[in-house]
Amino acid sequence: MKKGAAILEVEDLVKHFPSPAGSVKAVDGISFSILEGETLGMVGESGCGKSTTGKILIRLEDPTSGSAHFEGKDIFSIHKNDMKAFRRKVQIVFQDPFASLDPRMTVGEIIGEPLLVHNLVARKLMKPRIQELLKMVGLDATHADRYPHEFSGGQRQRIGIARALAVEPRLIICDEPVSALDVSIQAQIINLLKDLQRNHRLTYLFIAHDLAVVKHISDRICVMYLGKIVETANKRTLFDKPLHPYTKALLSSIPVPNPDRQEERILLEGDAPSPVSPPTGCRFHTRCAYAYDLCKYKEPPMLEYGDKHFCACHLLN
Amino acid sequence: MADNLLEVKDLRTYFRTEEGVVKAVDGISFNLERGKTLGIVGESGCGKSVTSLSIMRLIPNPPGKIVSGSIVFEGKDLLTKTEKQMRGIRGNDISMIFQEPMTSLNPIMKVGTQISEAILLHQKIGTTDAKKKAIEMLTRVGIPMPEKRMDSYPHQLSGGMRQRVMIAMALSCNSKLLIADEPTTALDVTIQAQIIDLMKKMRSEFGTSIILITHDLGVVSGLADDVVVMYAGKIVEKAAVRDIFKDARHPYTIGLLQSIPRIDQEVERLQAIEGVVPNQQEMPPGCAFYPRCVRATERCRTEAPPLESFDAGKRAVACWNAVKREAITMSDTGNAPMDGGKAK
Repeated sequence: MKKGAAILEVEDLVKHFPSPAGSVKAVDGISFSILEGETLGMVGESGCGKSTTGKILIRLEDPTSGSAHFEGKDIFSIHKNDMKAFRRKVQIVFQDPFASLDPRMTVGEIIGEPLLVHNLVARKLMKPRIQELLKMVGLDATHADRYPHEFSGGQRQRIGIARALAVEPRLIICDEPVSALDVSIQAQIINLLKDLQRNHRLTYLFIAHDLAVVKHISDRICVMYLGKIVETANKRTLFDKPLHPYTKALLSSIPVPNPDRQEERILLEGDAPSPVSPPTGCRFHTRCAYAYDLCKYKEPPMLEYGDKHFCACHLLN
Repeated sequence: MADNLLEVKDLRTYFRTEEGVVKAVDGISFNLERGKTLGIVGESGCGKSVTSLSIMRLIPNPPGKIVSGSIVFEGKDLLTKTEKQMRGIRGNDISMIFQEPMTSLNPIMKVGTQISEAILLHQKIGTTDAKKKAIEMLTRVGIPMPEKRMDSYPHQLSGGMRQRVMIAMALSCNSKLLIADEPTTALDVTIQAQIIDLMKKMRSEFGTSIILITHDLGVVSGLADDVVVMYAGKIVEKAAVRDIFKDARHPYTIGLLQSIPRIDQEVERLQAIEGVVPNQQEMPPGCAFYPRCVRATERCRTEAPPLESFDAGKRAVACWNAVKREAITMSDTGNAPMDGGKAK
């Protein structure tokens, strides 16, 4: 699909959470943009700030500072009367299909609620629209009268996707949408998301920790570590020529289902440091095998190396 | 003859529920050679965890019960042991590590005390020596500052560190068999790589045999020697790890391999296995995989295929339509030939 102009532009986004131990620097100054019709993958390990980023961008959390423009408008200064209009355009699909659907509502009510809230269809036309949405995500029209507990994890995720699609959004934030699912079901949902994107010209921010899944679905990928983006590139570039030592370690850590291809892994020492007191300079320097003095006190700038390949590492200069 | 540490024969573990009997494990047989690693692969509900709990005799009864079969460990059937004898075997001869190390460690006990306790319980040594041994084990599993860590509580450790503590505890009694049930599933990928590396090291150092239970085909391919694929309580395919990944014969195994996105291959569209695992009440009379199978025939609907050996007994598959002879092509794509339906 041809990619359009930037639909979302994020500039120096910061989110610090207060905690007894000091402020948790969950997201600490990240900038990126998403082009219309593309899928931007966002990867990183637990606590790197990827889910917080998703929640801020759909305004479930308020940022500490920074800006984000959706279709040219600042989303952090939206008046509360205009919030509904924004939410029509940006939707989210959550990780846990068991926790994100109200167990006391029928599937029809769940999918119909956004239609009611946004006044999208006349009451008479509700039922056919709900059935249409169910079919769109591969469920049966008769499922509308059932409750979430009657469905498997994969089917529930389809319901969550139908609910997001109900308002015909432009951008969907997918926060680990397949990580709770079995592998054979994972593939069904990934294929569904791809089909929907093609048919409805959707834009995705796809947040996940599984690099193989992210590689499959994304056009571009950004890699996060401890609240920072360390590298952004087209997916092929990122996987073929990763520049950042963290990206390299991350890619080499993925177990490949091929007994003949068990390469030497780059093993990182220890765990990621606490986001309460992240290391000075480059945040990765405490675990980086190539770190030198400069890395300890100066934060590396994000620079471009080749076609839209951005990386923040002193070693490259 | 192979030197088998463990021989499981026709194991059946059933659960009584309000909806009827759930045949979680329904007649499975496999052997584990001494020093080898066996991977048990399958999706949620296929019976892989119930298999491991059956070996440990940890099936909650009621509602669960091992209704038939034998589990022969070092020549003796574990199913004939008394509970007291089993307590001597668990943690001593057979150890287990679980997916979520937080829930398997005691939250109000220092990790050092927990490891020493395991050693004291199973070995005839004093408290001081047990403590020394615990520190030694923590060092061997790569925990920095082990003396200091002895006094930590589980919540003060990260997920990866807690799994290291579990491994230290499991290996502190020189167990002959380590059952690892999704040992890396809750961990981040770089930490997972550390733990896999550690398990490999421990295996070569201690000569431990391992049963690795996982849904992650990548983890299996890096660790296991042999693989058993389970579906709906039954073994559908059994083979050496290379054969599973290069020349799978069961449509379910092939489907699983094709449905995962891989970083070493690029495809436009994933080959999903359509449908879902049937629940026990809707289990078809024939092959359990039949409703989702691309190769299903009339026979599959009515008659359950037995697990048949071929290739000189080196591998086995339970499918009426699978090719049951030596490799025809060694395709390098990880996909087995799907044609040539002339079975046997």
